[in-house]
Amino acid sequence: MKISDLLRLSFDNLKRRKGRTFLTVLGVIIGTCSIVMMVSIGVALDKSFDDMLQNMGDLTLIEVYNWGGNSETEPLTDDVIDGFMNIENVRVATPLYQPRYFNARFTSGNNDKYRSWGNIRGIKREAIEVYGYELVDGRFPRKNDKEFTVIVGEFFSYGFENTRKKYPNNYVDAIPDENGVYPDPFVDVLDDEIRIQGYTWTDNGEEVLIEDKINVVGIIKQDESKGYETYSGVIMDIEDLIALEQEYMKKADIRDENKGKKREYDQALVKVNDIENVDAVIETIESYGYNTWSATSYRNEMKKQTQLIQLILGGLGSIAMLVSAISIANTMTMAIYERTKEIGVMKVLGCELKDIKNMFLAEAAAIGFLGGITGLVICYGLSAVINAVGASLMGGGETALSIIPVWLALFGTGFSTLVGIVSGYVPALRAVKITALSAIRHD
Amino acid sequence: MIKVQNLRKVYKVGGEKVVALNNISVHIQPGEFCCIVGTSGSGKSTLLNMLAGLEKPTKGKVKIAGKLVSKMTEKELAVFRQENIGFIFQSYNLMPTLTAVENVAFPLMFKGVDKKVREKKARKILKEMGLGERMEHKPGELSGGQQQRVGIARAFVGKPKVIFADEPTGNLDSATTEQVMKMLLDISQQNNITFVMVTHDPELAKMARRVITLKDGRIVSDTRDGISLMEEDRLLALEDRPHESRQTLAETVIQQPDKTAGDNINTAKDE
Repeated sequence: MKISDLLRLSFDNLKRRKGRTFLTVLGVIIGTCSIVMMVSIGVALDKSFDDMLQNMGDLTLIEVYNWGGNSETEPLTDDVIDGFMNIENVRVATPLYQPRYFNARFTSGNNDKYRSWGNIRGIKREAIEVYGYELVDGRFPRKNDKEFTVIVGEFFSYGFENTRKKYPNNYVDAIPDENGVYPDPFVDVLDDEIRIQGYTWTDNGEEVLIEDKINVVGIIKQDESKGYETYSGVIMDIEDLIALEQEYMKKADIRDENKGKKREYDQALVKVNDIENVDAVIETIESYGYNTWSATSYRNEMKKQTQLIQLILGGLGSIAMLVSAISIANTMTMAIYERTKEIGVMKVLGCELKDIKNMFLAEAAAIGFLGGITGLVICYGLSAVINAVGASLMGGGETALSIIPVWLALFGTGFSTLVGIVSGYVPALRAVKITALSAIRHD
Repeated sequence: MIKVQNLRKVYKVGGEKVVALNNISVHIQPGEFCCIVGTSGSGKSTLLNMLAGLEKPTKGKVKIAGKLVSKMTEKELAVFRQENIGFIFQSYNLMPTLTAVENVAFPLMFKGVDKKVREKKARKILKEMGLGERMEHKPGELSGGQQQRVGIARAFVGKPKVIFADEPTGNLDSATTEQVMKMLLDISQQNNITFVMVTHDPELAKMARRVITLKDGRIVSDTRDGISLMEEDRLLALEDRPHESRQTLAETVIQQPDKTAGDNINTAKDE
């Protein structure tokens, strides 16, 4: 028997009992909806966690700390950090240097009219671009740039105080007006001359020990995951920064405790090429004895939790599906009971057993499939409604409460069809056992 | 074409044994039109069921076209039916969702014949049976006689070797009965199909050349053209002697065929 004929017979039979078919399909629709909606909530939950983590920290970034290792652990020196570069999938590794003794400020305008006390961070120049800062304006430092080429945080320019004005007019606040437009700061950091000064306090008041021009080439977007310096700090080449500090220390007569020794850093940053490889890199670095922190470790923990939640939600959804499976089995049993004579006739006319079985399985599968597809369409509608209501309740946030990815749609229809086939199986076997004699007996 | 040897069927009803058929031996020739006649409870339907392989005998053998039907599995039977057997039911048993054409083409569907091909065949045979106007109607829209003609067309469409009919005119009025009966005789003769039908009506059975009368599970008479096939002849028949020789034998033994036939039918009626 041809498959096309088999399917046609099955659909004819479903059409024959429209009311009953509809009710059974309705059961599957409810079952599919409950599973798909539950899982879609789980998926949305998972995604909102991911988004949250993305905000919390760069998922491909690993912070490595000098402390916490045992006594045999080598301190974080340039050599060690360069060594991290050789670990598989590491894009870049750099020390993160914060000056300890350097009392620095930034000035601009005539007679240092504008002053700012921004944070300074030193990282390897070649790491700046790879590190993942997002430019708002300008460009990243290049290899051939002159000394003291830096990038600054998004609101660095608002850190400048006009020393000639009195409170509250001495600062421009980085607060946008109702149209979202920020006021102009005192200093245009990309065009105006900016100086870095190392100063100290003496009996005669403040004394500038060193002064250099810095060349601001880029402004980066604020990113909490990458530290406060993206807000109002200055990021410069680590060698420049250390040289500056050394010079300052000499002038200020500060003794360098580490003189002659290899430089040691408190912290290093390792950027990995892909989220999937972060765990492996962390494992390698920790095996050397260093402590690490990464948003990924949170992520894994949270993934476990959301998976559990998804499992529970899916389980709840399955209850409705189970009920609909029972209803399919019931419908099929009824259909076979009603059609006992027809089945007998078909056998007398030479219909093979496997065709009878397949015919009923196709019917059950069709019920499951129809329910699955319809349920899915409803789910997309429900999902949109929930998200719209959720968004209005939560003040227009972009986090969705329910997400139906393609795999869930495919799974939903596939699963409902499978449920149809499985629940139709025993009734179909019953149909096969009906004797040809019933064609005559049932008169 | 059909050979039955020492067929016995015992039913168990509430712990008691009921012998439905006892020691039945029959040989039906290719192309023969045969009526099995008897009152209800005579075992005629049981015999037909067993010939068609719908039931398994308790003892004995049924052979059709040289194949031992009584020992076939369900699977083998299905294929055997597709190729060799047509069946006509008393209550037509058409598929209610299918049109007349589709119903006639139905057995060919099981064989895997293409829809176009099988429906062409079905249309042809329906036209021959005078149902050209009703081809796209569903059974519910047809009269009893029309439905049975569809049922007959369905049995003939596959050009089987044997057609079994279980009271094919049982639900029809007398005028339609005659029409249908003539149709059955004509088509089976034209196509040289062996036809075996069961009926309770001895008048109807008279229209067949071969009449087998059952009573209480035994054959009480077996006639061809009204001539009783003698025990020796039936034994000869079992040895696969050619048709002609037995007929000649029968003719030489009994000189008054018409009278004998009448007697036989009368006997059947009385019972």
